[in-house]
Order: sequence, then C-alpha cells, then structure tokens
Amino acid sequence: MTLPQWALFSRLRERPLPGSPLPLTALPQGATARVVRITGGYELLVYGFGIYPGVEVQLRQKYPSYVLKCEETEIALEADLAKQIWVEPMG
Amino acid sequence: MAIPSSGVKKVVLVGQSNVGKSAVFAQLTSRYVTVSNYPGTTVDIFRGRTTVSGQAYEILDTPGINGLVAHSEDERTTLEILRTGKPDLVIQVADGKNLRRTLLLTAQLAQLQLPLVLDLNMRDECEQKGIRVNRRALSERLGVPVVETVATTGEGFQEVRQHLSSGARCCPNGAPAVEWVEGILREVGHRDAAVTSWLTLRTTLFTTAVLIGALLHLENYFGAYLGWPTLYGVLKRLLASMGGEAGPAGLWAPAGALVGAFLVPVLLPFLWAVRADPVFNERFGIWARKSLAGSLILVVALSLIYQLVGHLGAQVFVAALEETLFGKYLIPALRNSIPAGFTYDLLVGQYGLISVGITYGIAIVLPVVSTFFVAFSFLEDSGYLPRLSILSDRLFRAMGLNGKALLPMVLGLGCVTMATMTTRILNSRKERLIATLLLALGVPCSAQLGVMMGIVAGISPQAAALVFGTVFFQLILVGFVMSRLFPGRRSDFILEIPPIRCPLWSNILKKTYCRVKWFLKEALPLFVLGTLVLFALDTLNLLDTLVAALQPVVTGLLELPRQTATVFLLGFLRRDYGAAGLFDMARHGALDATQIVVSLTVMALFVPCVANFFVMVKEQRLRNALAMFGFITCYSISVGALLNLVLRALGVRL
Repeated sequence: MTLPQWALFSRLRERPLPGSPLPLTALPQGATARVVRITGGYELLVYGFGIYPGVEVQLRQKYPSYVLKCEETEIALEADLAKQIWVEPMG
Repeated sequence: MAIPSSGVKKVVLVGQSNVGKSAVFAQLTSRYVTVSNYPGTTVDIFRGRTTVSGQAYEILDTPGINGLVAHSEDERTTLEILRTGKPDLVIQVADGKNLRRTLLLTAQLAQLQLPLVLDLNMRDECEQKGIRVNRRALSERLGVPVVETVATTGEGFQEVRQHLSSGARCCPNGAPAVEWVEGILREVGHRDAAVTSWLTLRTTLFTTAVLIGALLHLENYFGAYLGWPTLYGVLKRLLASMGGEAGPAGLWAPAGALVGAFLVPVLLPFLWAVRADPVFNERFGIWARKSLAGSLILVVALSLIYQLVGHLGAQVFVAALEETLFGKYLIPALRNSIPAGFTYDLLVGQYGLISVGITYGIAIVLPVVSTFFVAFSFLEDSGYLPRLSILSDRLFRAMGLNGKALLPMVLGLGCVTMATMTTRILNSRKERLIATLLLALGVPCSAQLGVMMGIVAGISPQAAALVFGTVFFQLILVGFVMSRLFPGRRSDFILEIPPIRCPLWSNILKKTYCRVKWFLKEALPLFVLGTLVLFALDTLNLLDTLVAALQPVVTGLLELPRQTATVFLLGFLRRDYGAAGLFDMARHGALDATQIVVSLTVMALFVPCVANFFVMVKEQRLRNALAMFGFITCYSISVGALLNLVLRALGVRL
C-alpha cells in the first residue's frame, strides 16, 4: 500500500501501517516492532548485536542517533544503518 | 619458580564487549588489568596465572567479540587466539541480562569444538531486573557447565575455579544458530512480572537535588556577570573571616570555597542518587544521550573536571607542593648545604636535576595527573562515555570517523600513547589513520591538559575558551580535510550503550594508583633525562647555539621570549614536561596573556612525545608516522603564528 502524496508531509507518514514492513527510521519514537529483514549487507554486523528477523526491538530515540533496545541492551546506530533494518510494528 | 609450560593449561576468556571479561580475569588471577564500563577497554591479550589444586593455568583476557567474523583489529586478535592458540578451555563470559545475544555467540563458539564453560556474569543486575535463568536446564541443553557470577564482588568464583579442573566438555552443535537459540530461550528464560521503573517520588526528589546542585554550580560562573552574589564569593569571605587566610600560602579559604561552591553542590547529591536509586541511573542514562539534556550534562561535567583538575589540582595542590614544600623548604635547604661548583649546578642549578627535573615531575605534574586520573576513572566506570559517542556521532562523521572514535579520543586525554593502540576498535584503515593523526596533533594528554588548565585558570575563562576552542577547531578542520584527501570510506556507527553504574571507589582508587605509579615509572626518568640533556647542552654552551637557531621561529614568528625554545625542546621528549616548563615561566611572569595563549596552543598541537611516536610507528608503519610528525610540526607552528597575528592585530585583551 502506498501513501498519497500529501501524506509525505503529514503525521500519517509517521504512523505505522499494520502488516507492512517499514524501515526502522519510519517508526515513531517509543514504538515496539518485530524485525522482519535486514538489507544492504548489514546482516552479519547487526546479527552480532542480537538483531535478526523475528527479534523484538524498541525504538527509544531518533536523534542525534537512533537508539534501539533489544533484550536488556541499548544499541546506538546511525540513520544509514537504521534504514536497512525493516520492521513490522507491533501492538 | 619456573613451571614447565607444557604442564600449564591455557584458559581463554571470550565474550561480547563490556560483559566483564577483565573483571573476571582480575578475580581469577589477582593480576591487575584496567576494568571500565565502556566497550573496548581491552584491545590486546593479557595473560595471567592461577593455580587450582596443584595444576597451573594460564588465563588469557581478550578483546570483546560479537561473532566469529571480525569487523575490527581487536576482534581479529581474539579470533586468532581461538583458532590457532589451542586453548584447553574457553570460558564464555556473558551478560546474564542478554541471554539471546549470549547464546548466539555460544552457538558460534560451539562450531569451534573447544571445551567450554558459560559464565553468566552480572547476576546482581539480573536480580535487580527480575531476570532469572534456569541454570540447570540451560546447562543440560548446552551440554556444558553454566555458572553465575558477580565479578565486581567475587561471588560465584569458587565454582568457576572448580570447573577449571573438572574435565570440560564441548558444546554439541546441531541446529542452525537462530532456531537453536530461540528453542533454548523458550525453555530456560524467565522474567518476573516487570519491575516497574517509572518516575517515583524518590527519583523526582533526587533529580531535583541534582538539578539545584548543578544550578548552584553554574551560578558561580554567570552570577559574577549579573552582579549576583556567587556561592563561591560568599563561602570565600566566610572562610576568610574564620581566619582561613593564614593557611599555607593563604590558600585555605579559596581552596575551601572552591570545593564548597563548585564540587560539593553537584557531586554530593549526584553520587548519593546514583548509589541509592537505580531508577535515577536509568533516567540519567537516557538524559545523557539526548541532544539538549545531554549537552547540559556535558557542560556541567566538563566544568567539574576543569574545577577539579585546573583549580584544585593545578593551583591549590601545586602551590602547596611547588611553592611551599619545594620552593620554601627543600630547594633552599639543598642550595645551602651544597657548595657551589659542578655538583651544585647539576643538582640545583638553572637546569638542575632536582631544581628542575624532580620539581617539574613531582611538584607540578604529579598533583595534576593524580586529580585528573580520579575524574577520568570515574567517567570511565560510570558508563557515560558511550553516551557521548551518540552526541558526537554527527561531528565525527564530518571528520570521516563515527561516534565510536570518541572513545580513543577521550582516552587520549589520559595518555595519547595508550589511546593510539585503542584506535584498533575502529573498523576501517582510513578511520584508524585519521584517529591516530588527530590524537597526535591535538589531543593533549592528562598531565599536559591539567597543566594547561592550571595556566589558563590563572588568566581568565576567555583565555581558556580561546586555547581549547582553537585546538578543538583545528582537530575538526584537519579531520575534515583528511577525510576528503584519503581514499576509503568510514564505517557505520553501531555501538552498545552500557547502563549507567555507580562506580566502585575501590576500583577508582586502584586505577588511579596504577596510573600514577605508571606515570612515575614512565615519566619521571624521562624528566630527569631531559634535564640532564639540557644541563649537558648548557654546560657545553650548545644550548645557546640551539636556541639561537630556533630564534627566527620562536621570537620572530611566534613573538615569544627566547627561553621558550628550551621549553619546546623539552616538549619533544614529553609533552607534559614542556607544559610544565611553560607553567613555570607563566607563574614567574615571563609571559604575557597573549604569549601564554599562543605558546599553549602550539604546545597542545605540537609533536607527539617520543613514546607516542614509537606506538605510531608500530600501528601505522614508519613512513606514515614520519609524515605525520613533519606535518604536525609545521602545522602547529603555523597555527600559533596565525593566532598570534590575529590576537595582536585585533588587540585582544585576555
């Protein structure tokens, strides 16, 4: 499902749509999501931090860096990397 | 006592970064290694020995790994040991709070088919969070022993020792890692009903107390401009009226006011809160990584360090040692008892081993480094540094690095030589090269930084801002240009953020003690040697020739007094020695404010010390190291000359 043009500048863009994978960067702060896939050749790098398809993560901060909570660890990552982590919003 | 090495069993500690491998190592071997609360403290292998029921074991502490694929130099070191070192036992040290990550690594270690013991460390934190692991079930599923420890207190190490000697087993590996891990997690993981961690009344009270303390602290700076009575001024007058001025060198009242106005209001409530309230720790950890709140926390933290090292260390303690102990008692006593002649000149003359070498080392640099190391160890153990990485990531990206590079940079403030080795945690060659150059160029080491703070604290806050601002700006400028000149790309920023923890005083004191001892062992002989060289040059009348040769640069370009040339020569040997020379000159009024700012800036940017140069050669090869050396020398003098020109042309009064 694609969003209409005007939605690019509205809050709709921020609102996760159930059922379709989003890049982590599109998630609102504080949201919990399940990782669906990792692209861009970063699979191995983020795997080492315990992030892989099926794992539940919480987005805790978006600026100045993205901060994810995965299990009891907080992981900071930059936007370029966060873009490559595709998630499915939960709840 | 020599133990035949064939009879010694090799035990390797591996695990993700910041899970406490070094703390476990220290518990097992009682050998001291640096333990801190940020990933990347250990970048090389450390070896220690222990004996359990007659059998000797060699324990190896390794840099943290995230898997069997190395992304950086330090990870490669660990993998090398695992693959080719033929260990008799591998102990996987893990953070018990992160069972999934732990097991992911276990699954990969299992492929190596090495005897394994799993050590779930930080049990105390697990209990706090309500996380419980069914140890027996986990052990059965893995097929290897599982122990739980608290490495900071030594809890559970009886059992670890037993497992060293019991015949260890390998972990059978069957299913692909992820399914295997998820299967085990379903079976053994258990979490109590969420321990709520929301703002409680207690946390609010603590936060308010810390906030008021921080405001009182900052009020000392802006109050003077607004015409308000500052806490510092009030305390000083109060203490002076109590007869404090009579203390050694009349320092009692200002020193007391300094501690009372700057350090006590923030530190006391903060330490209390961090110790007593885990929720406050969590909150603080979140604030420290936000842009606005984080910047404010950074300002207060920097100001605290400035007050502690620049004022308390470099002014109060140095005055007590240098002016009173050395200047009033020791040196005059020696001068009176030694008859004039060669021995007099050698020991207490103009370039005397005691009157210059020992005085600089013990009376100027030692009090400065000691106070700095206390502050620095506190920062390391609190878990604050990785949060600064988040705040500074964007800045570092402009310099072809990423936020992870903050760790070696900040460590450089401790010792640039050590920090140059820490550049191994950076992922690409380009990043390591840039970080090494920036460290050598503009990151002053602890002693130098402290002495610099001490000198500028004696002039004005504007002078301090100018010196540190210029150096900081040069770092960014050079980094920016380098990142565009050199081929290659920077790596992506991903970093684990440890929780904020209340530092253990015992660990801080131990670390400070070790670092001070290291300083005395490493630096003091060089101070004496440097003085000896100067003395020899002076006796042979070569010093004047050398100073005359440097005159066009020193007096012409930088407009500094002639004798500054000697100080710069000392800076070649050790930067802090050079800084101590400047400190001495500034205290005796040989430099005006502009000259102090210019000479400090040049010294800060100046060539790395001998030890640092050797490490640069080792990490980056001779050709690169020499190129950096040449560049830095020319660049630092150019910046100094330019700064001098601008300041004189604009007639800036500091």
